[in-house]
Amino acid sequence: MLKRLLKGNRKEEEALVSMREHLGLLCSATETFDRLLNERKEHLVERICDLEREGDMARRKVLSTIFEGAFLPYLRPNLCRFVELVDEAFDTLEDAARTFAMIRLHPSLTDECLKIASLNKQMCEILAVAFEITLQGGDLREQSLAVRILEKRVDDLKHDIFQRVASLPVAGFWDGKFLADFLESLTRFSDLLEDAADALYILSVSFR
Amino acid sequence: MRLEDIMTRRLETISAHASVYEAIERMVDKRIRSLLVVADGPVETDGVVTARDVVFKVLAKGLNPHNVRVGEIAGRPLRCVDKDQTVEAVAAVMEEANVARVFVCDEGRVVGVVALMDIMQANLVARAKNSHA
Repeated sequence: MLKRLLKGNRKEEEALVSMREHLGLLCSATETFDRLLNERKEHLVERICDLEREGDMARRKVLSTIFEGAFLPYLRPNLCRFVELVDEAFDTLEDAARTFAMIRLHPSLTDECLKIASLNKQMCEILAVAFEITLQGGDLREQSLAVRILEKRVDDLKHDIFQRVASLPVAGFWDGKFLADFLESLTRFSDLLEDAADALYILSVSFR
Repeated sequence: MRLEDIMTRRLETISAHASVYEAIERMVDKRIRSLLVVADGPVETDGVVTARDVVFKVLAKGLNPHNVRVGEIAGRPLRCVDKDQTVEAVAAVMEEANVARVFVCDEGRVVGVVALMDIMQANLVARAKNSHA
């Protein structure tokens, strides 16, 4: 079905190339974020912000191509939803990187945060694989389950962190706020990727 | 797949002198099925108490969990694996010993725990990543 949809349709192909690029940039950003948490190098924050800006360009290109008439009308809402969710995940990751630069992470939270960053990176890799499988008209069942497994692990870690974070000392209002914002962004990313995986699953069914 | 990537590092422990009731409370509160039982001696004297031990060795026998010490029902010795072992090798250890979890040790110190569910999930995630390759 998808191959039929794409046959000779340059706009559709253009949109899909930009979607792949968008997702690829997000995966690069999750890798950079993982490095940022491990190495704590300031320039990595800027790198993530650059990737986010490039991601915005890719998103705009996808959306404008769709609004120029790419794809059948019934596919467009889910395509746009997928792209918007990936973009929201990008914004969330950028927020996490920026707030991380403003806090001093308490040693008792470091392990969990590193683990979450690694899980986020894995979720993104699986989403990219799922996207390719969708384009080939394949079944996303295994990728969908893997994303749910990883999201559950992030949720468990979030629960662990939030149980302890209230008893940690903070120097003042802003230190506490930035820490809370960082943890919120770090843990929200996986929710957005799970939603994106669900949107992709719906798309894959529509493409069949 | 590295064992370090899938193991749980945060270990819930309980003293061997605590009552089984305290162990039950901890398991219910934390929604877990086992606790590392810490004895007064070296790590070799540590053990593990599971929901299975609590049910079969205490509750099903009509014993009062307030009156039984965790140390009395804990499984010993701990099934330890090296942190550098492969997940496949650990699965084989679990099958041979017929246990649902093993502890990961490094230089005589318990650093994590790996359960059957961790192995199953890690395998599913690896399949999902590689199915396009």
